[in-house]
Amino acid sequence: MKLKKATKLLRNKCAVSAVISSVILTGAVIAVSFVVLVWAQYRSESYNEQYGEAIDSDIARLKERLAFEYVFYDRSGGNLKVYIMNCGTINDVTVQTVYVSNDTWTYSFSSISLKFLDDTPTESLSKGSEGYFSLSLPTPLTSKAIYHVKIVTGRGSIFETTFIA
Amino acid sequence: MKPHLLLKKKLEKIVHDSRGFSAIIGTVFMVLVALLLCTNVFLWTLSQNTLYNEAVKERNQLDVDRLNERVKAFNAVYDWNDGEVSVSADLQNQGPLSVQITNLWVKDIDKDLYNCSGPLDVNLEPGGASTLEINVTIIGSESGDRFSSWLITGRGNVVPLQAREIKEITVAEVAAGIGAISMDFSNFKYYNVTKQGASYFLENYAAGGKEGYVVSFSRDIAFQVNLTNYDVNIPPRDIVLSSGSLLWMLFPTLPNQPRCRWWYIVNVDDNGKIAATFTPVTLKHSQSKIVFFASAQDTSGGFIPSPSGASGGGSLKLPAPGVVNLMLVGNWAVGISNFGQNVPFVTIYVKP
Repeated sequence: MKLKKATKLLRNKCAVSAVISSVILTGAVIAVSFVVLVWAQYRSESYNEQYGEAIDSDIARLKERLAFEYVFYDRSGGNLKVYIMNCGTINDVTVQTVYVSNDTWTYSFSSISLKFLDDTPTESLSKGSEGYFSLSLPTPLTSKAIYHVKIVTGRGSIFETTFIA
Repeated sequence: MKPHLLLKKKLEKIVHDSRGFSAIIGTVFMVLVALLLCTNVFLWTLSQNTLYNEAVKERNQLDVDRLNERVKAFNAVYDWNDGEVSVSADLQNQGPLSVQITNLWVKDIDKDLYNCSGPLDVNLEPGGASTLEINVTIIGSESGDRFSSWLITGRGNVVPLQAREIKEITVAEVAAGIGAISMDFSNFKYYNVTKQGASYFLENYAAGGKEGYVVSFSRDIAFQVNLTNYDVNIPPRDIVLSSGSLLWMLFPTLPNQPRCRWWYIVNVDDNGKIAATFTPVTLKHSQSKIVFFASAQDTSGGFIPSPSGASGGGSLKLPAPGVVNLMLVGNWAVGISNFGQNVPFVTIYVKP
C-alpha cells in the first residue's frame, strides 16, 4: 500500500519543481544562517579577546608602582643615577623611556640599561627588588636647581619625581 | 460573532495552517542565536569589568596603605670608623599598619658620597618600636664628616632619619654651660654605709637615699649623683669615668685652715653592696646614670669608707655648710682623648 503511494508520488510531476525549489531555498537559508552564525561567533570571540587583552593590560598597569629611592647627580661626570624600587604587585617592570626636564627643556632617553644595586644588569625588576640606571646628560645641570625625572615603563605607566642637582 | 470567538477561530486557523511555520521557527532560532551571542559578549564584558574594578580597588587600597604608613626614625647617631658609617636610630611605627623597612641610605653631606645598606628585613608592628643599628660603607668618607640618611619602606615611602636633638636647655643644665656632664639637682642623695662581714653596704638601699643637702656628722656615708652626658660633639660621644673621679667637700673653718673630706667613685650592685674594686662607669650620650661616691681613697687601691664631716674635724663647728665639687675624670669612649670636668654644684649642710 505504501509502495503504491510512493510510486504514485514519484510519477506525479505536477509539484516536483515546487518541492525542489523549496528544498534549495531551505538549504540556502540554512547555509547562510550557519555562515552568519559562524561569522557572528568569530566576531564576538575576537571582540572578547581584544577587550580581554585591553583589560589585562590596564590591570597590569594598575599593579605597577615604582618608588624613587634616590636621585644622584654626579657633577664631575655629568651623570644622573636614579635608584628605584618595584613596590607594586606585579613582576617584570621594565623602564622604557626616561625624561629629564626642567621648566625650559626636556631630554628623553630610550635605551635604558637597568641594573640591580650590586651592578648586575637586568631587563626588569621583580616585586620588591631594587635597581638603578644611569643617564649621561648632554648638558650640565645647574647646582641647587630643581629638575624632574619621569619614567615610562614598558606597560605604559608613568612615575615622576623631582630632585635638586 | 463575539470577539473572543473570532480570536479563537483565527488562532485555530493559524495553528492548522502549515504554511509559514518554517519561517517562524527560523526566526525564533535566529533570535535565540543572536540572544546567545549577545549574552555571551555581555557576560564576558561584565566579568572583565569586574576584574578591572577589583584591580582598581586593590590599587586604591595600596595607595591608602602607603599614605597611612607613618614611621618615625629619630635619635639618629652616626659613628665613623675607617670608612664604615655606623648608623643607630630609634624607630617607631605610629601608623595603623605594620611596616617593613627594606633599605637604609646614608649620604656624606660634606663629600657628596653615598651608599645603601642593601636589603633589610626589619618589621615594625603598629605601635611598635625598635632600634636600628646598621653599618654602611662609604668609601672616601672621613671622620668628622656630616651624614644624613633615610629609610625605604616596602610600600615605597621614604623616611628621613632625624638626628638626635641637642636641646638648648642642656647647656644651662651643665654647670655654666661648660663641660658635657650635667647633674640632676633634684636627685642628689646620700646613704649611710654599714659593714656586713667583709663587705660594705648602703643602708636602706632599696628604699632610696636621703636628701643629700643635709647630712649627719661622723657616719660613713656615700653620695648618690644622677649624671647625664650631653656632649654636643657631632657625632656625640660616650664618656667613661675612671676611678679618680671624686666628690670633694670643703669647709670654711679658719681662714688659713680649711677642712675637707672626699669620696671617690665606687660601683654599687643591685643589693646596695659596694664593690671592693672599681670598674669604669660609662655615661652613654643623652642617658642619665646614677653614680655613687663613697671611698676615702681611689678604689683602684681598694675601698675604704669615708665618714661625713671633715678631717681634723675638731676645729669644725657644727652645723657647718660645706661646698662640694664634683671632680670627674676619665676619657671619651671613642678615641684616646682624656676627659675632665669639675662641677661645683651644691652646698651641703653638715649637722652634729
